[in-house]
Amino acid sequence: MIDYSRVRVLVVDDESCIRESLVGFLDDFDFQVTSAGSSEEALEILKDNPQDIAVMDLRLPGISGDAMIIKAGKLYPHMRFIIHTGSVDFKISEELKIVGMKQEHIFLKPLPDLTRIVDTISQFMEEGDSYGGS
Amino acid sequence: MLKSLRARMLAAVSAVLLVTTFSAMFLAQKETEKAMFSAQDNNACNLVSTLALTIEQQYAGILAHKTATLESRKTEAKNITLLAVSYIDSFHQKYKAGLLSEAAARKGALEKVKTLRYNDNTGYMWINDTGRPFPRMMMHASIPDLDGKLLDAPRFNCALGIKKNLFQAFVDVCLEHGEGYVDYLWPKPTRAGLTPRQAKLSYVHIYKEWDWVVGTGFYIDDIESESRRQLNSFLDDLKQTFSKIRIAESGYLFVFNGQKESLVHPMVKGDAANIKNPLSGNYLLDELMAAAESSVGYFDYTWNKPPEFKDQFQFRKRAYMVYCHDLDWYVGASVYVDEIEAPGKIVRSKVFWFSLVLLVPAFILVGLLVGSLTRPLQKLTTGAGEVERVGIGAAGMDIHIPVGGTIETQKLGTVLEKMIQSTRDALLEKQRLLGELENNYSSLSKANRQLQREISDRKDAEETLQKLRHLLSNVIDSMPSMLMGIDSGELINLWNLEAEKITGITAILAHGRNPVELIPQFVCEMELVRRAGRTRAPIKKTKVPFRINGQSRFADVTVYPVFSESDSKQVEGAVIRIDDVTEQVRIDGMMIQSEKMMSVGGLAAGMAHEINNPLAGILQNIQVISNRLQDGNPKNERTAKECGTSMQTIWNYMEKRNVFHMFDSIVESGKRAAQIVSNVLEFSRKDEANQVPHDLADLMEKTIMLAGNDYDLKNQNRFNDIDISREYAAHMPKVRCEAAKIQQVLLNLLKNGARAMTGEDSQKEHPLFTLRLMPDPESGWARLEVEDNGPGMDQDQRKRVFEPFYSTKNVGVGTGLGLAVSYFIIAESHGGTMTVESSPGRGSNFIVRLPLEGSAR
Repeated sequence: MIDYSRVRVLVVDDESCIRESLVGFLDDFDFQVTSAGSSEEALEILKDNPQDIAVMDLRLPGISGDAMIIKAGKLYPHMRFIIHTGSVDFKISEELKIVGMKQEHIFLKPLPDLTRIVDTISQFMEEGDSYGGS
Repeated sequence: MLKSLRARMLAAVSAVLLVTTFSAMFLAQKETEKAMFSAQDNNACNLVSTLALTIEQQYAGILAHKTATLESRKTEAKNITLLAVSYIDSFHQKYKAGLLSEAAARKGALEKVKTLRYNDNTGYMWINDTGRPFPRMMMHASIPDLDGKLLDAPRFNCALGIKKNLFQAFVDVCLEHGEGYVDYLWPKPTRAGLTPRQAKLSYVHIYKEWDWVVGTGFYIDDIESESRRQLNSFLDDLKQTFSKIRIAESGYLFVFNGQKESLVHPMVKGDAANIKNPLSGNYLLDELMAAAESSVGYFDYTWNKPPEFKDQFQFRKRAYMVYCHDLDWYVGASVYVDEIEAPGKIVRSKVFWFSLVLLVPAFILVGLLVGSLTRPLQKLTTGAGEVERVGIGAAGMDIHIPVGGTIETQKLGTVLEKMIQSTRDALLEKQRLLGELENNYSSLSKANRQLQREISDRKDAEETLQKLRHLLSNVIDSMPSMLMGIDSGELINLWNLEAEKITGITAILAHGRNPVELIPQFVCEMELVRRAGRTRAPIKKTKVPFRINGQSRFADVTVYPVFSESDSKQVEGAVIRIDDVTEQVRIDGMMIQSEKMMSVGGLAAGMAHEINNPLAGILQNIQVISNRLQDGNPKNERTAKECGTSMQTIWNYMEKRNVFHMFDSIVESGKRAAQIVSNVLEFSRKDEANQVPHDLADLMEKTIMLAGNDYDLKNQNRFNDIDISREYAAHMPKVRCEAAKIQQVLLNLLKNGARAMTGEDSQKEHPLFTLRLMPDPESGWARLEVEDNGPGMDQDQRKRVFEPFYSTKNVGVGTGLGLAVSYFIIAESHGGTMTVESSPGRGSNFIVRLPLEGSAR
């Protein structure tokens, strides 16, 4: 089994039961999981606690999920993002492409099999540098 | 102009006189001139011919003289030669008789012939042999040096004008003919010695026994020179003669030869070949020679007239030409044409002046004659003029017409006088009658004017009425509504064009009938008419169902009561207006249906979105729970241990209480809910980016294949047993759409239709799909139909068939969303419409309309 213990994942969702399901699922895979209920809170966390990956909801109170991704992507260029949303029609914009996002990084709610998120993270690990660094 | 009789007579007679005189004069002039010209012309022509004839005769004389001289010389030469031959023969005879040896005989003969001289010693003989190629001279009387010499010297090549060796020529002639003449050039012995070569002719004769050619020559140069001298003196004579002959004023004669040398001409001497005709550009002599050969015999050209007009080549000239063949001479006479014409012109002017002089007395005579004829008439005219000026009324009572002149004018005067008298009487009577008439007329015309005015007023009123009536009937007929008027007895008195069209009953037939007789259904509406009469206010009833021509239609019926003209409270009948609103009712129905669907769709989509989040909470947490109940996970094991138990124990408990199965049920239910939500979300999805032009027939065929392979259909409904009839239009334009979505709609329709036709309710033996594709470019739609021959739907089913979650299927067979999703795909995503036509027992026809590209909707 792959060792995910050095990978830091930030889960952002305003709905606690969904947030908790993701945190619990990723925790069982030994990821270092942090969570936030809004984009603002997430940006605050990122200041002191660098993260490798963020799993983002889109419809959030305050700063929307995609705006947050663009912001964080500029501040922390090594970060990768996964979108977990209920919006059926969402398309990856040009700005999101700049921070490395693709259409296959979008997962629609409800996602009956969360291992697909873990698979995507594994893929990021293969593509990118060693995680858990700086 | 020429109003008086006298002037006219004078003019007429003068005109006749003038025309006759001038015609005669003109004719006389013309003929005289022609005759004069022709005489001059013939004269010149004959002169030239005569001269040419004379020249030819003269020349013939010279020629005859020449020939005679030559012949006498020839005869002389022949006689002497024959004499020489006879001498030779006598020597030969002596040798033959043995009196002389052959050599002596030959020598004697040669000596004898040598002595033969004639013509003042200039004539001599010679003898040569017939040796080949060159003969040898035996004896030459004039040049003894030649004796015994071979005659091969080049200077002998002078015979026959072809440079042939002279002596060879002699031998050739003799061997062929025995004798003959040969002409050549040879020096001539004179008293002063030998001259240079001269023309000479020789006679030669062969003496066969010794093969000797005996000959003598005579010079003919003197004959040639003699005839030339004669010709020259003849030419001099001609010059003399010609210079004396003048044709007309300055015409002259001339002669030139075939080498274009002027022989006789007053001005031109020698070579004349280069004289050009400046007008035609040809050489003048060529043209003259051609004229001599032609049948006309003359040539017209324009030439100058020296010395006054040396450079002006503008004077017409005529040259008469004759050709003398023997001499190769051209004899001609050249004359200026105006000079030939001159005598004619003089005669013409004489004729003109003579006619003029004759005309003067003729005119005087005419004047006198006309005067005597017209004077009495003039007097009559003056009298009549007086009558005209003064009148024959009171003022002219004493005017009388003069009577005189010829018998005719006397009679005319008397008649006029009588006429004037009777007219005077009639005039007085007329004046009296007129006075009476005038009084009567003024009263009559007054009455007339009154009558006319009345007639015209009435006519105007009638016309206005007619126009108004026409306008009214036009207005009524042009109404798009059916209009029917009834009187107080409920009988029809108005029936417009639209009414005729709708009912097929003409106005003539309808008038005076009861409406119920014509339209039995109208019995219910008659109550409406009566009520309107009672309330005296219009009444309207909307969407009244009617059956016309077997079709059920809807109409709005409005009844307007009609009031009496005299008493506005009295109702006299009604006008009934009937509008066909079937189409409007249909559109209203469709609008209601569409609005309903839109609101339902919007509601469902909004709800679905909100359901997704709680579903995620359920499904995703269940997965975490399942994970945490698994044994083998170190974290799980650790926590279990902390709680004083083991994962194995927990797992066993769960398994025994069937909890895992329940988890599975939760996941399954959640997934189903998620599927429903995702279907509902399709209602509001629009994805125009994926819309590209597609061939609908192609999509239809692909979907039919898909349906044939569909697991559900294959097993339950025997899709492949269904017949499919395709009615695709030939030129179907492509339609912009999202292929997958349209296929989803088609598949849904096929599935529903297949279920309907092969289900338990259906008694159909032969299930049949009829698929239609047709463009309707005018309205901008492509129309696609999927028709089945299943059990069909009643009205309630038909109205609700597109509603979400409305399903006729048994519970568990479908979600009831298929047609709703299809509806929204067509209406929302593609801007089209989707409708159904169905009734129980008749099958269902689903009609999809998609907008054609580029058409305005």
